[in-house]
Amino acid sequence: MPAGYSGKVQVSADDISYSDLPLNSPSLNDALNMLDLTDLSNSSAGNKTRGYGLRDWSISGEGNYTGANAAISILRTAFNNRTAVYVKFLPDGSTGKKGQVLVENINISLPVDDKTTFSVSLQGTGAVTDIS
Amino acid sequence: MAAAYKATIKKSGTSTAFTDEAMSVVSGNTYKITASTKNVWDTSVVPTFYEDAVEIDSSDIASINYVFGKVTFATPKTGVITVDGSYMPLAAIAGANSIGLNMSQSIHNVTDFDGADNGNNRKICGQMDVTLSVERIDPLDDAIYDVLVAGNPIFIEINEDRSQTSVHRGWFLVESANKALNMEALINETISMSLAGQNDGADVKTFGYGAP
Repeated sequence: MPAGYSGKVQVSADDISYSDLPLNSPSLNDALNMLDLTDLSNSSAGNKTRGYGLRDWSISGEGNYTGANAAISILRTAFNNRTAVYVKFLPDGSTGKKGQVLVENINISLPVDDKTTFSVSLQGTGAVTDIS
Repeated sequence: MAAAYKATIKKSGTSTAFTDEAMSVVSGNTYKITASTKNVWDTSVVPTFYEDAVEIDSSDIASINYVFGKVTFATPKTGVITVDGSYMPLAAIAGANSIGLNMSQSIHNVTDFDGADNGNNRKICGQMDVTLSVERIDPLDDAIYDVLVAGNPIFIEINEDRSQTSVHRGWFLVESANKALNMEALINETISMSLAGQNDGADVKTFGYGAP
């Protein structure tokens, strides 16, 4: 079982060269839409019947912000151009999931008595593939 | 990683005309005004560009970046490039001690039967928006309150580490300027702003990020 510090979130504009995103608390939300298929023909036992719909996923996190950071620059460029980027979510640093995301939100906070931080929200588009 | 105390935040003053200002090449057909204090251009004044003192036709201008004082020409230039226009001088917002910059864009689900892609959602980006919050020790100058009352956009620059390599700039509308009076503390003002509008086609007029 890997410790959280082993994990990485990496981004790339071309799916070739990846840069580490300086997050300190990233999270991946990977969900399948639940379709309620219950009807009178299948509910006699009093149970719900469900099926899988579309898959949807997103990544969010917070970290220390530096404008010169390569990964942050990739996200900034994608945000400005409204284009998708590739992201790898690697809980153990080497295996995990990969897909394309849209940059939904970047929030930068600059308090005079602390460090500059940022939070980011990425919305998945298209398929998620496993990295083994 | 930058300590936030190195950040600066500035606001615009009165639009000031300039003539025959030198421009230097950035790369390819893109030039920037050489004088760094004049690189925020007034969007209500269309700049005129010259090559060797001969005016360059507007059809030869691919795009103008008003936020960082740059122009991209449609064709290469070999002569000396100069510009007439009007710039916005910038000055520090007195007393500012906390900045929150939020950039977001709407995400639209465009999944259809043809593009359902083995059961995955497909999305595209929609409209972008930026909001800014500034907290400051109120110097009682009413500088921001006056902008709020006048109802005109104000230009803001945020330089996260004074390096001039990572600068956010844009035109904002002041939504609120709230003051808090605590008899045991300083008078604080909390200012909230929203982006004044979107960029105009290829021209960058409203918001930009990069090295001035």
